[in-house]
Amino acid sequence: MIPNEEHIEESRLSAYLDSELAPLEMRQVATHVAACKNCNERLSELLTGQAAVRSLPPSEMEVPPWGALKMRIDRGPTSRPSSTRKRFIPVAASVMLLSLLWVVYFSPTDLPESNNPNLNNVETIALDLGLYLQDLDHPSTESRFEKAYQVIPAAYESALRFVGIEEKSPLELVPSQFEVLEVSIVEYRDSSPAARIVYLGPSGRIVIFCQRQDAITSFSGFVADKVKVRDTSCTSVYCSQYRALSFETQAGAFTVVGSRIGSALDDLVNIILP
Amino acid sequence: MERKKSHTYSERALIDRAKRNDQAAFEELYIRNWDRMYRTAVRIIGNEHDAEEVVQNSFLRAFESLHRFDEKSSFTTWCFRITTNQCLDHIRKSERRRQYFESSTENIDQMLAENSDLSEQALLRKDLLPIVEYALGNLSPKIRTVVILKDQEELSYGEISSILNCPYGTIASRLARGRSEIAAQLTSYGITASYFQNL
Repeated sequence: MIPNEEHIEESRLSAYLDSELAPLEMRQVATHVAACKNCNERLSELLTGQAAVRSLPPSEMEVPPWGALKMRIDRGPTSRPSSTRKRFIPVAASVMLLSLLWVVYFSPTDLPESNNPNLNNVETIALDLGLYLQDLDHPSTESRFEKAYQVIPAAYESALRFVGIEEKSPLELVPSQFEVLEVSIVEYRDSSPAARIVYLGPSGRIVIFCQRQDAITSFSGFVADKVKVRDTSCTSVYCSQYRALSFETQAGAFTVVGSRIGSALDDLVNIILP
Repeated sequence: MERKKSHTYSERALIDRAKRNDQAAFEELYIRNWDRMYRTAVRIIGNEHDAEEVVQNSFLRAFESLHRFDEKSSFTTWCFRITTNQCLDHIRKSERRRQYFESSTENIDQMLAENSDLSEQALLRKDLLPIVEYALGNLSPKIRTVVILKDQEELSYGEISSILNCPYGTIASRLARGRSEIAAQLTSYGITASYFQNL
């Protein structure tokens, strides 16, 4: 029995609201609250708090593709804390810049033209890569654009400076600490060929696809001349799009489709990286 | 990409297979549990992007430590334990922990100024949402977590106690404090329980 002069602890009132008390205690609290204005008011407050949270609409999101998680699982156990990612954003950005420049070199004619083709190319690619980088990392379409622009500026500015000055060969753009692990010719679903180049950079593994035949020939030529290739192989890539970039850093695994059609992304995420 | 849940296999069977490194079985567990983990993480962290990352990390952690899952609780409860730990860890380390959704007193004041009629009929769910989010965001992360697990996920005190590894009494007092603090903030805007009755 709860004496009328004693008020009920808030935690017990809250538990009463949730029917978490023993049956006898439930009856005792009910009797007391009916007679005690103070406890009745406090119970109403708790009810308000409960009702408010229950009124919140559930946040819904489509289950992200299993491939993105599978890729991380396949990479093996990691004790890396989630926040590590933030520390490697600059590294990831530099890797992305490198990838940007590769595309600028290899496929300038694939991109829309403007009065200032260099500017247009870089801008287009920067946005494109940024969108898809974020697309994998953050599938929410609502903030893709905003996030892309947050990630891109540094790479964009650097790329702009580069193309505004002079063209350089791709090999000159690759820092010496990037080791080429593998060069292979792969086939997309439409049977078009692509070069698949795998680097090992300071931030992790980078895979770059280049579709144009002349780019493949050119690239294979100077790679064969200047760097040691660990392995070559021929792989079918089930991607219907013409050009794709994929890179993996300590900050996370990124696959980037260098086209403006996002449907290829899932294919790539699921298949490209072993 | 539409993903349909398949409940052909029991959770127990899926866990057995997943423990034998059957990724398809773990994928099924992932699909079945994603929604609850995600919406819980969103409400604890207050940021959808971060929540998604945290939940992905949680499932990765779950897969890696599946061999240690003793099956004394359900897989969902175990996932909740990992996810809430990851959420609280994320908040501790995040520089943006103060940004809980876009809620701010300025936004709320503006909304209230635009709604001069504060009668229950005039305020709709969408109007109340930023106020409730703001109040929820002002709770300490530990208290907020208990409130979400109870009032959103409707878990029992026993389940929450198991997930957070806290005594029953601690859960009860955190929940009471959370509800009370939310009510106090809502009351300051003239909002009472009756506002939510017809939503």
